[in-house]
Amino acid sequence: MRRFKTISWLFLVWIALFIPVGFAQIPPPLPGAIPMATLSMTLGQSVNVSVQQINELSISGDVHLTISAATPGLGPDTVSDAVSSTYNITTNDAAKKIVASIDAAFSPGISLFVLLGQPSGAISTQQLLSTTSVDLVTGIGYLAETGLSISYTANVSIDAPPNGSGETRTVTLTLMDN
Amino acid sequence: MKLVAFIAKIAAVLLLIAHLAIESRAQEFRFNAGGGPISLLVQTATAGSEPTDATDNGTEIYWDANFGVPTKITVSTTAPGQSFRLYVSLSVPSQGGGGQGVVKPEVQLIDGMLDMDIFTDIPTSLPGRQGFGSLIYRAAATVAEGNSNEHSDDTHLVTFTLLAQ
Repeated sequence: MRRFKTISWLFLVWIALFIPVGFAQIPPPLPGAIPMATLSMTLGQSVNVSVQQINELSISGDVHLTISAATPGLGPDTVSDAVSSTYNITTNDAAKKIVASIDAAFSPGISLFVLLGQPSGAISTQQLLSTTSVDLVTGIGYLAETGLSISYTANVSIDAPPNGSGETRTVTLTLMDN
Repeated sequence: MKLVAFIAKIAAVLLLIAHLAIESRAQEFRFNAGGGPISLLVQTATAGSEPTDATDNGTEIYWDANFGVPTKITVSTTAPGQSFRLYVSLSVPSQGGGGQGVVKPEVQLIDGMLDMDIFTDIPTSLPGRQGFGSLIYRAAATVAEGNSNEHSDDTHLVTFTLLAQ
């Protein structure tokens, strides 16, 4: 019996403490009252946004240059191709440049020049390609452009012997810090 | 002894009613999954294109909007010195009667912004007033906006609020 009394008292205490709170959370609206944003609950979350330095360069298209004619009295004709190959570039950084080199030298008397289409705000210069890197475009920064031209020009000196089916070289363009 | 049994029965019934009353009056707004700090990393691009957006959808929120009036969920952020763009939207799946409301378009989070709606017209009664949805964050940065080496990372404290509409 004593145990039951204890339980009863605890129950009454529980009623006194919690039921009014439960019903008091939302008072009934007054007649004609306009609902107001008086109640709200919030959640917070931390979000960190990091943007890395992004530098991307791609080339498309192979180029075939054939020197097969000459003007009488002059050396062999120079040949050019400005449409077969293009490049795309993206950088979200400042002060970049593009350098170029070939994997092996051509036979004596054969020269290959390249001129890259100029991206916005940059400076492009035609250069003779060799196994040593040379600057083609400088002053590149914060741009994303596609379909920029790559113009190749080949010439050969009069004393260079014919080289049959030709010599294949790989041109490497590198986007790097100025 | 009969009196005791009677009182006990009455007490049990009152207890049950009280529990139901409290339960039916409760509001809830909490993270259902995730909820911790999120890191979004913009780090790739296709040559010739702008950097690829970074996204995160690992956070899920739950709500029981028992406010007695239609409610909505809003979002705002504080991000001092913000340099890049961050967006958020709420994806609410079909929940068989739950999760009723109107999903609003993706919101751009800008430092100091006013609260913007991401989910509105949550009804007052069950089951529609209860629901859950995934938060979809999207970070974007154009090449012109640079990188974190120049500007440092953006740190947002994003606040979601469930409130009367």
